[in-house]
Amino acid sequence: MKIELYEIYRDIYVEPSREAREMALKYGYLPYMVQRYIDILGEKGALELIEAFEKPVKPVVRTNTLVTTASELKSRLERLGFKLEEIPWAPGSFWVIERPESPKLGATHEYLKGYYYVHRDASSLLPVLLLLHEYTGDVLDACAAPGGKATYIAQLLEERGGRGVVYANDLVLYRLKALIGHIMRMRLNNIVVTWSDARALSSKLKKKFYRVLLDAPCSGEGRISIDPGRKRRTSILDLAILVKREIELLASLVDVVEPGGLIAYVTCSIAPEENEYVVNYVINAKKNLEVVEPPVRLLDYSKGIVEFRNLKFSESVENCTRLWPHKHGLFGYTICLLRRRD
Amino acid sequence: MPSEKERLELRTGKAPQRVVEKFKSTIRELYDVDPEEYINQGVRLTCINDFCAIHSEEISARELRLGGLRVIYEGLWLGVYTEKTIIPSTTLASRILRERGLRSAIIVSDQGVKAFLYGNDILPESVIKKYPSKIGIYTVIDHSDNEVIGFSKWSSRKSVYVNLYDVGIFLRILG
Repeated sequence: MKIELYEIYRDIYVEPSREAREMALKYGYLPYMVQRYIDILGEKGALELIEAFEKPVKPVVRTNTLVTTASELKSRLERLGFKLEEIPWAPGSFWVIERPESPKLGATHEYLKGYYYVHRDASSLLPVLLLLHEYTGDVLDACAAPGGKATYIAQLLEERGGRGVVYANDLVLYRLKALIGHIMRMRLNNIVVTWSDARALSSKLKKKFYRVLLDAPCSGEGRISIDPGRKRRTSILDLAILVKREIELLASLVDVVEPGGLIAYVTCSIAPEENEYVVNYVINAKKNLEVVEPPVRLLDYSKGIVEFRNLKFSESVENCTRLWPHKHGLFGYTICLLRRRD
Repeated sequence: MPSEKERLELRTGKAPQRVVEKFKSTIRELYDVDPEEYINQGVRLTCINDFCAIHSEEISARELRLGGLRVIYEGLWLGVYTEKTIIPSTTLASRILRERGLRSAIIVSDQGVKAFLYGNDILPESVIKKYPSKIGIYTVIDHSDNEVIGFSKWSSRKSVYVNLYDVGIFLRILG
């Protein structure tokens, strides 16, 4: 599949309006990003989004139920001065409402003993819960490091009877080091770690999967609240380059999905260019895919965007799940579940 | 000067037979068990810079290797291998001690646990209870929850239990 960068650039290029430039200047964003927010949400909605990005998000601890119980972890962390609130749609996971000066959440004795994993935000739990809904069996996590989702999948597979292996791959060695550390710390034995460009997996893997997770390396625009540098980091050309890679990743990984199986395309980005555009591109190229509705409504998700400026996407991308910081109080996040038909 | 990210060196492969034999012999001496009951499949090494993890070999990973993929970790964490010593993982030690009862172990107080998890040695006054070891290596156990948190070796010269490794490596080395 030949993907031309200039075509992507042409499709996503926008000349920002005066309003967008003024708002971008005031809040420190690149103007094209604010133009996008206005185009999707209107000026009022764009402002609400930008203000939500200024608010801190609540980190999450996810109990390693293979080692301890949620209630035991809660009481131990509360004795150390943490205040936790259970996440209603993610059993065993807690929002951290208050933290003591010391110890740090990622340095308690309980952490070192593998009692829990720390997520920066609850949004990253969602793709795992949707992709693994009522499923047991092997799972490929194509861009897995540092391992929040891979270790969660491994834990769920164990909880459900121990059938299935997580094939966790990544390209970046120093991130893989952290993944291996988490696997050892959390005492997991059902993860195989590989070091490869995910785009090469379809030619190297001799097997196919009923569940594939592609948490694609992206602009990270949904995480501005913890990394304000992202307000200005990705130029529109950089974005086009990212989009090209995202298309290549999804298009190649579709080939390792069993007919009838699901691939979750996930980004911590709210940009339609990195989400619906990518999914639409691959659906049109591959012809054997459709975006399906999430199997369960764990929270009040927003739908995917079908029209963006002069771009019209396949109707099925409306089935994508969007999390918005100003609506859901989480990172900006997009999850599209694609089923392979043939 | 290269950053830590650039300086990472990875080595993986089948554990040499002498390493496997020494590892099994250490387990036998520490816990008085037949190591074959716990290590009954292939054994591999994953070394990141100077840190080497010993782990089990999995059939699923073997298939990936045949396809040309670089598998860098798999299976159950079994132990830690350094130039000086080969010792069990906290995961394996927990399992053996849970099934066979305590031996070659020291139960350590809060103060000792805190120091140990920072990579420090353990003073004798921090040891609440001691279970003898034939080879002077002790499984270190946190008294508050009976979790294995690492390994130490008694040094009569220094009069301390020298830290061989502790679960703080997950921050200091593998973080």
